[in-house]
Amino acid sequence: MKKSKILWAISVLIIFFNVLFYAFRFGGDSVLLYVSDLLPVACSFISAVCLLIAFRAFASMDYIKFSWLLLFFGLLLFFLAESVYAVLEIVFEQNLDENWPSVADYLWCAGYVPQFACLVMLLRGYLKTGLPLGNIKTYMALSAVFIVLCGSIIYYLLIPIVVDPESDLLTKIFSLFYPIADLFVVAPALLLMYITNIIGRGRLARPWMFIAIGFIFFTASDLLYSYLSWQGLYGSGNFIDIGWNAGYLLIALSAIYQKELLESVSEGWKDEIQ
Amino acid sequence: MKFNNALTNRIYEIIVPVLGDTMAVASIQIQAHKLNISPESITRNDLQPIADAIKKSLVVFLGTDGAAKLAEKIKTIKV
Repeated sequence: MKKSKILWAISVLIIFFNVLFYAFRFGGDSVLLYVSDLLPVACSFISAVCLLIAFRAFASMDYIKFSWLLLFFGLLLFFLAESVYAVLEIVFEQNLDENWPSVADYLWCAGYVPQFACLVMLLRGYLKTGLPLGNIKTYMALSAVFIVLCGSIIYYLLIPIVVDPESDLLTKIFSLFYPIADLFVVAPALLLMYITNIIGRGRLARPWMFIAIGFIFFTASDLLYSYLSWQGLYGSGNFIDIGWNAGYLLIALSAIYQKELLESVSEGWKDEIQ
Repeated sequence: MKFNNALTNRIYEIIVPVLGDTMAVASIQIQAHKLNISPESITRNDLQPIADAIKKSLVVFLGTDGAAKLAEKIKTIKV
């Protein structure tokens, strides 16, 4: 059985369990705290491990292998952030909705840098290939979507954060960082998504398609979290957590598809020379 | 048989598992067009430039090594 199929089955099971637990809250708030803290640790761990596998599948160290390494570092930092967050909440019983930002937030913020660099490197690499770039109308439509998104975020999220007199400087910096960093990441992710549409839905496009969808899930959850958190409406077991978990698993799938793509080339080559 | 030319068909067979049908056909057509020939008139002399061009376009997906392996398969086609 292909590794991608096994990972699909595991992912579906995790998300099903996640939805079931959040909907029915078996065992009350204490069990919910464990589930909502430990599932992201598990999902980000799966993601980081799969990205390491994909990185190792490339033979020589070129800019593409390096971009997958950057993605691995980004998700590794997210895994460390999820782990620290879980330890602080479960072991040290800290209320991280009140004691915010925490050490975990520094790790999350650091994780954006290699992720953004990876997406830019993939896009720059595609520009050099000479493959079709698509039509101008779609780029204009994507730009319009992005401008509307930026406008909404600035109006509903960033301005209220800046003018809030009750928040200290550190809280304001972190509150502003997440939505702005999300915009930086979602722009190349949307372009990556468009490129996968141009090159078709075959084996070649699959890794990039899953990376793009994964980041779009991250961004949607992050923005909802920022808004709800600012309004004081976010708590353990919120359904937006599922978006992060799904994002981790989609990026894990992208890594496994990349490994299978590289294997298909190598195995074909072995058959040929035998 | 996708093409009437045996060499073109072999190129197609090599790249279709990776690129998929649409992209494989499009790639052959684009590379043939760049050489000012039709896909049906590809000769052994065209294999080197076609392989190099396909390698260049696939590096971003397969890495230098993976793209080079596919290009090598195209260069050494035996029909």
